[in-house]
Amino acid sequence: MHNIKIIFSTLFFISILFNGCTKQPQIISSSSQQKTYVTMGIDRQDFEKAASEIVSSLLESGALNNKAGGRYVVMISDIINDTTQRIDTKMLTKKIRIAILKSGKAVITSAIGTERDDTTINATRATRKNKEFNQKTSIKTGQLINADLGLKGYILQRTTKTADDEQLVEYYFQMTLTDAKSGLAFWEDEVIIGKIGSNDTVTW
Amino acid sequence: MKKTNLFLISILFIFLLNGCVENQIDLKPRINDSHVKIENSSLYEWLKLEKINYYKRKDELLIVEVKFNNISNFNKSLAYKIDWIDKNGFIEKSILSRWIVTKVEQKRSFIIHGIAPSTKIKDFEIKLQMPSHDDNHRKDSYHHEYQN
Repeated sequence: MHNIKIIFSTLFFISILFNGCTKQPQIISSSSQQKTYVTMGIDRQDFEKAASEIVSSLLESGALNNKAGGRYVVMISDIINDTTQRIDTKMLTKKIRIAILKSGKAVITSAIGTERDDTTINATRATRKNKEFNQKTSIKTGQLINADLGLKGYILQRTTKTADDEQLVEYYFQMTLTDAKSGLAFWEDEVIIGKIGSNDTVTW
Repeated sequence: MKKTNLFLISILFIFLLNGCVENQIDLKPRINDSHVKIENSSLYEWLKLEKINYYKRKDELLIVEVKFNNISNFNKSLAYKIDWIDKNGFIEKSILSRWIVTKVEQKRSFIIHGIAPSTKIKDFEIKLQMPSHDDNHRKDSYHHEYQN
């Protein structure tokens, strides 16, 4: 019994000692000096940074300025996650949606696209002949507005080893704004987030 | 001859006394613009505002560019954030308003560039701080961006 206690406590101390040897991952940025401990995967701050830079670039490009007057209707198209992680792309698109709507430059459609609100659209129309509903409040046909522009994106990952035998992970957030009528890309941009850390760290 | 010596000695004294006059300190503030708020006075020692430029575009979005210079002989770190202010003086909460830490090399310039998040924005304020170790402990998303 005494031996078991000694073995257990020795193993415990060894595990604590070895735990301290693992290098924590650090974010790397061309404009950053401060090293902050973060995960090697994509975290909330990465989504915020990507969304912030994407929206800034989009507003600055003037691609949302409708020359015919009024505001464009933007549809959120596919955001393809080509990383080793399971990502809910709404973490990115929701921030972009909020920023576009707040800017007053465009409106986002919830009728079509990957972030459509089927429940609201279909449920309100399903009550058309339901006598329980006041038919004066029924939505007439032909009221939905089609999208002028579509916002599509990719999240890509590239993992390499550095000369110091560390792991370098780069995430690419790529977005394209396409004109639905002509199929022409009105705006495109890419935000890259790089992280360097121990090979013992995993991204998923 | 004596007169000449006396004259030379008096000139020498004048030069010597001249050296006793304290070197005048340049009290002219290096950052003097109502749009720039310095939150750590130590920044005045090395940061100089070179140029501030802003205008409202045809599409009603305010665009801002500010150029600073690190006049010291050392590389420095700086944290900055642009607060976007609406016509009522309220600060707009936006992902375009985040603390960002940057490194400014010695004797080099540094540019802050920003676009207003909304057409309702009428004014802006650039906040500058020295990054500190406890920055990482700030928990709300509008202060937790120091590592970017």
